[in-house]
Amino acid sequence: MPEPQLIEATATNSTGPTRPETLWRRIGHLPITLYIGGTLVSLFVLVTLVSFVWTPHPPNQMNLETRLAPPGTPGFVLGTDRAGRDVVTELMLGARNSLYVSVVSTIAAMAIGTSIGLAIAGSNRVVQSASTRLVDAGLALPGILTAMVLAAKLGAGNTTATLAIITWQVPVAARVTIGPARQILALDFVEAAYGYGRGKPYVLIRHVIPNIGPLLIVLGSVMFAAAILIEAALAFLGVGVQPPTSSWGRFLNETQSLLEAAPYLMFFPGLAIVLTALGFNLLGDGLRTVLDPQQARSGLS
Amino acid sequence: MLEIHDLHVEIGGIEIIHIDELVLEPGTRLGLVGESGSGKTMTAMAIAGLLPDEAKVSGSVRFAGSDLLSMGDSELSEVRGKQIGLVFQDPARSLNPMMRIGRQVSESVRLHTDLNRQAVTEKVIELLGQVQLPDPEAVLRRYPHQLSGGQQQRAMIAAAIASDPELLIADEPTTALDVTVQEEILRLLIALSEQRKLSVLFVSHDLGVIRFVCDRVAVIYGGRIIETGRTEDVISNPRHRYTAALLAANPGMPGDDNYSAFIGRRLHTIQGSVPAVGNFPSGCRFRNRCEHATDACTATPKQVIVGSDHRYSCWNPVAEG
Amino acid sequence: MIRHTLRSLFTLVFAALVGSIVVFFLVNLLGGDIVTVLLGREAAPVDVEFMREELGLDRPLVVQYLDWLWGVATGDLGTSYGMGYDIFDEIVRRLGPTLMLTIGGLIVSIPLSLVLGTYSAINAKKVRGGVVDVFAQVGIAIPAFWAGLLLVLLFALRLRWLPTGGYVPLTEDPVASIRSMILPVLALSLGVTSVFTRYVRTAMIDVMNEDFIRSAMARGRTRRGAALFHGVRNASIPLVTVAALQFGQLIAGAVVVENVFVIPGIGRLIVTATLGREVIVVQSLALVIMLVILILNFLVDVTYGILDPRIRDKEAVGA
Repeated sequence: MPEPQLIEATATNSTGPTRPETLWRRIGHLPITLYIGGTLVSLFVLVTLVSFVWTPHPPNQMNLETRLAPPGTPGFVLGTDRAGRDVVTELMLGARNSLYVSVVSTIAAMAIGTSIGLAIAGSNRVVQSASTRLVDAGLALPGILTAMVLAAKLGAGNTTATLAIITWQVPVAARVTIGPARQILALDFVEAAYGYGRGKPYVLIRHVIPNIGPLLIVLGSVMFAAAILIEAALAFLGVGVQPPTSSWGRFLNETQSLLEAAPYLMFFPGLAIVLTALGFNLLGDGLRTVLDPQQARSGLS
Repeated sequence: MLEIHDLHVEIGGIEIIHIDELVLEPGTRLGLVGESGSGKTMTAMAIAGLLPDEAKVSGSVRFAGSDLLSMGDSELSEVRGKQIGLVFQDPARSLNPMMRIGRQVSESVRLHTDLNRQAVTEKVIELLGQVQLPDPEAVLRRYPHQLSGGQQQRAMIAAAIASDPELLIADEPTTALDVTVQEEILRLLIALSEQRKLSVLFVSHDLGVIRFVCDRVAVIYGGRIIETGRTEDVISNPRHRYTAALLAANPGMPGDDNYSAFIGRRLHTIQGSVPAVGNFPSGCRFRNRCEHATDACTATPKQVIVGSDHRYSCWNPVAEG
Repeated sequence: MIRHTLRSLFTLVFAALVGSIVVFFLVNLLGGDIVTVLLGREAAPVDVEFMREELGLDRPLVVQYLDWLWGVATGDLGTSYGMGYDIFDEIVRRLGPTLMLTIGGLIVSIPLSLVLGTYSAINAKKVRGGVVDVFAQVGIAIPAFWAGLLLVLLFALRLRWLPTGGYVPLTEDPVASIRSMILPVLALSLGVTSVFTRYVRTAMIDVMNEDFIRSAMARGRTRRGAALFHGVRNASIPLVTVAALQFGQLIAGAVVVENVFVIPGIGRLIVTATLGREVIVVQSLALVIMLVILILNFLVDVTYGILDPRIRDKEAVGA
């Protein structure tokens, strides 16, 4: 679920961003997390893209004669669900939904959160202090509650889920951005820029953002993993996307009543969720190792 | 009582320390002096078995009848604290901020003896008194951040001598302290060493401090001992060019009668800086920075003995007298 | 320490206010009209008007907000429109199971993560240390609800050692109560333990590089001894604050776990209410849960202030 990796990002230290050029110098010595994570993520994206063009069976086609077929049944590699839908097809379609929700929510949360973080970093001490407290307060509130509130008011569905994830993640993005942004703003060349008459917004965009770029990439990867998990959780509870749209979370929910009849079924959507989230987490970890060597000593490789 | 022979320390394939011989007689204070990067701290850590895991050590370090280098970590842990005590440079960081002073001072006692709580507490109070800390009963309940730098270092010394070791290794014990406090701590160390017949290996970059504290001195550069002898001999009659350069670069030392003669004089500095670990030249390691280097210096210098115990390894030494 | 406590208290109050405003904002200013949500779109305008008056929705927002806060404080939160229960009473009734679940989760995860994290840190350069870290990485990616299903499949259905769900109050039948809690607590702990373990590992690795570890070894500790007697102690105190940050995740986990194992706690209540579009219920429920978490955070913060001697004595030394 969400917070973990990000709390770590703030709890260990953000020693400060590296300039993009130094990134290339380190590429020769890549950590294993990057490979595994990269592979899983690529797989996920690939499957999703392919699903738009081809699935083993037509989407949502219910084959009532072959309900709850076990894996290995001819024509249904992983079997079918209670309504006779092909599991592989369901998984591919579910991937689509996860990708859609996660992309939208992560981009939005990062855009909003980072902007807020930058604005706070660039403001004067009083405003900074007060706003940071505000952000911390936002962080302390469990996202699931706001998700429920939104769902109760707006009804279940993808939009609600996306909004919920955004509300959940904006404070995180803001918090992570504030520290490094402040560090950069304290550097000498920024002072020089002010000396030339450049304004705050210019400095923020032209100097700060490129320098925290790597950090944001890592953040994005980790937030994506969180989004996958949250979307799945909300769908599982029935608060996310509704039928007939496929979702891994809801699929998993359906398998609960089938634990006796078809116990193997729950592995498939579950593994899909885990592997995808794991992939993005590992990717983020690997990227962090590459981009911030100080953390590398406590990393996997 | 401490004899080092043929000590080699290698990290990452690069030889960092190579000491043919270094001897510390019982009851004496030996200074190990060198600039940063000379390998002095690493030598001290090698003796105590406190080098990082990546370091490969060979040779022999004979102490109290056994070779320390042949011992594993758990065997060494019996020696450390009990027979060898250590004092480090920055007392604020060398003390656990979350643990009371009393517990830290008594740690070696609790590890190596069976004394009950009462006896341990009494011992700690006694130790804190010996290092001249006022109100020991109060101090032992305090946390490090509640003491001043000088007090912290006294506590560290108390912890190091708690189990009455025979050897004390002090690595720059006063470098991180206020100048005003430095002399007090040094005097304390001298006093303790006299009272307890404690041998001291004193590591420092400051020749003045070494002169104040130590009977003998060994000068180290590039991981090699280049000159040893009685402190008075080496300081008044340095033979190795590096030793001479070090002395010339020193503006004056505490207790130096001729201090006033140094005021206003231009400081002589040694050209260049200490090379990084893999970048020392072959032969005499100092030759690239030495004003008096000759062609002969490309070969590893042999040791020459002068007088009663003054040794140096230089092809083109300072003239006698 | 007084100053630290006051600051924590201020944070508590501030966060509570912010939280309440956010929730209130989401409910009243986003989306459509509350009454329409409750009654459904087909409702007759007369009924809508009546309900609006009943619920006091015609009053200015600020008044509604303050009245709501007052309700939370006095225990008067109204009744559920769909099911007719008194909201406050229902919350109180359901706190028990949820508390048992979350506290159980903490009891399991904290010691376990200390052990695993320390082990992983001490063996950081060897394979076995890395293995633990890998498991922790994977553990973070496993959603609590899937873990729950796996556990149910294995222990309840296949092995028949434990029940598939349900809840028995501790006071009624301790043994059965604990038996019914084992699987849910395990499912809930997986994610949290993984997070803590990674934290402890990093903290321990950092601590082991500190100078005072070398001093401990200089007094006769082996590397392992120094790690255990100095490292763990120093790393575990901040663990307390990390734990506080995870309360939110614990609640999130509790919500799904209660649904998987059919435990009549707050988690199930909020989901049922949400699915039933009971906006009023969810609004108050969310705030109450937030308050509980914030209070727990506050207590943890104060505890940390007591445990860390540097904070405890800050004022004594006049720092």
